[in-house]
Amino acid sequence: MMLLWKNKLTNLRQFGLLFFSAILLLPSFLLIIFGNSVSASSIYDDIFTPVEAAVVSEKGNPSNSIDISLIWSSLIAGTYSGDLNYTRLSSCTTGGTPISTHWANTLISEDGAWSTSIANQTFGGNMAGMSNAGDFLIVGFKEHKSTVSLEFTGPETNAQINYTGSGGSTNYAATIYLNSSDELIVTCYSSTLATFARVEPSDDFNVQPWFTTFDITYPSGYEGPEIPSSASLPKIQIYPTVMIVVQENNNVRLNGDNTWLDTYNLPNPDYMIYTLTNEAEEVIEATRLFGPYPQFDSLPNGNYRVFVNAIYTDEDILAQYEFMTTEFFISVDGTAYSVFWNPAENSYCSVRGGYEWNCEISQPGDEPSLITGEPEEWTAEECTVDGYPWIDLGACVRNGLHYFGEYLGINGPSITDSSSPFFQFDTNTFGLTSILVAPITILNNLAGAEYTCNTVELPLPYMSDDLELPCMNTYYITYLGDLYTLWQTVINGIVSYFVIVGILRMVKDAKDPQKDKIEVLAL
Amino acid sequence: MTSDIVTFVFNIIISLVFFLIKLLLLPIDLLIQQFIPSVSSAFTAVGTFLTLIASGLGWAISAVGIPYSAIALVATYWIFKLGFPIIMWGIKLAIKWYVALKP
Repeated sequence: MMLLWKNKLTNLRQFGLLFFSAILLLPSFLLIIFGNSVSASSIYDDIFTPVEAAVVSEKGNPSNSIDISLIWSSLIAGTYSGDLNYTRLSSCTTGGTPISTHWANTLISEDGAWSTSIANQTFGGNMAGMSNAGDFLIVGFKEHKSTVSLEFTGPETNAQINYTGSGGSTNYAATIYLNSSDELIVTCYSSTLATFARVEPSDDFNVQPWFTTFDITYPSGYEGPEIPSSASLPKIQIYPTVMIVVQENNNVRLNGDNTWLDTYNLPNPDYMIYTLTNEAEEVIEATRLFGPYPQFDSLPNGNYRVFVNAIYTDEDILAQYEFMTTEFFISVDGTAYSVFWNPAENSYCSVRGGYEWNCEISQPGDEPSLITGEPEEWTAEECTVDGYPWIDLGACVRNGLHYFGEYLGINGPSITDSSSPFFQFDTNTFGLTSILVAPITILNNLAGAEYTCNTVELPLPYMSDDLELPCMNTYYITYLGDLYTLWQTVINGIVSYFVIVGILRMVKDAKDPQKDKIEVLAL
Repeated sequence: MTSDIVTFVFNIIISLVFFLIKLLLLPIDLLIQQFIPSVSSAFTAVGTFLTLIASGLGWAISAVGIPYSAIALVATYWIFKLGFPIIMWGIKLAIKWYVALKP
């Protein structure tokens, strides 16, 4: 007994230790989780809002200082103030061979005007003359390998910027530091180990901006803002978009909507996977396609889901983007309508018309002319292309979002809410209850003579149509006639015979005083 | 009349069994779903399979050509056979209580 209590106490002590450890560690975990997310978010914001990182402003002569900030990985921005001369601007060498092909595009001023005066590998001049605005940008392109070595010679300070870009492999890296002579050293490594996260293209400088994995060594005592690393930057989430058209004949067509490719300047995916499930999330059809869009024909009335997945195998793309599953809820009930994916909202835009669509299309592929539907209901441009509704996505988004759930009078998530065990329990399809209740339900229905024949529909794998078994009695009556009647009469007679015998036996037993036991159904 | 009473009692019994099964198995089902969801899914699949069979029972009866009147006759017979003694027992019990409690 003592041993037992000792064990219990030991277990209790261990539990207590674990419990209090968990309480103590919980804030740390929360801090890590939420701290990271906040940090990533703020870094992300900072990237889009160029911040002048005052790396050397306090080091040099204030009147001749250079403020360096990295806007994007391929953009190194410096704010120049004072009368500063640069003495050398040279391209890098790849295997000793200077590359100067694109030098004209590597130095631009703040206003976006390209400086074409630095085509030479080495040249000198007055920085102020190049950029009176005081800001300059060094732009590296992924198309070419380059090392930019800028040495600024001011009256009282020297600073050096080394910029190295690596082309072809689209890799850049950078290191910024101050040397012992208070020289600012910005070295961008050409590194194949770097990972990148491309952000949305910027029109400001007509470049493809890239985040870079910077390996930054800050000087001792440096307290200025730090340049973010792309490793901490979140991937851009992309929802592949399609247009879904539900037709009156219960055919569901998927049409192209390549805005997501255009927006992010992405190549075509290796393939797409379209999955159609019913409301119970049972997969009806899963299609893997390289080119054409799928169609699901003659679906039974009901609610469905369409999942769209884009599959890429390019590691560089996968490093930058996270491809989400676009999920559509559609209802097939003999009514024609269209469903779009609104990338801005990551939600549906469902358009359902009760009016005729017709328009003239002069050439295949042309945008149809404007057809006004019912203005009070919908003002988007609508018509048909190849017999399918065509609705301008932009107009759809502009004029209002008709969320699918709202249209159906249900909320989309309510379908998933039915996964609650309580709901499923009420429908007797949950756990052990479903097993025990099913035979009783059969018995109850038998007792109530509720077993009238219903057509049996069995879903077939890899087939769009279900196997339908019609009630046979109509066929028997049609083709067998009196023979079927005779068969039923015989069955009725046999059953009646045994029932009557049973009743007689029951009456006989009732007379027997020794047999007044109560018979109950053994459940 | 008697048949209606018997059917009524039968329905009450079935409903009671339903209620008790649900009441007793709800926490067990929830625990199973929480901690061993795969087993819960298996149970649900079995229940779904039984429901599928039940949905095809009417078709099977139709295919065999058994008349519904015969099925109704058998069902009524068994309801009467199993339910009537309970009713009689209940009446006897009520009378016994009445006699015992009669002042």
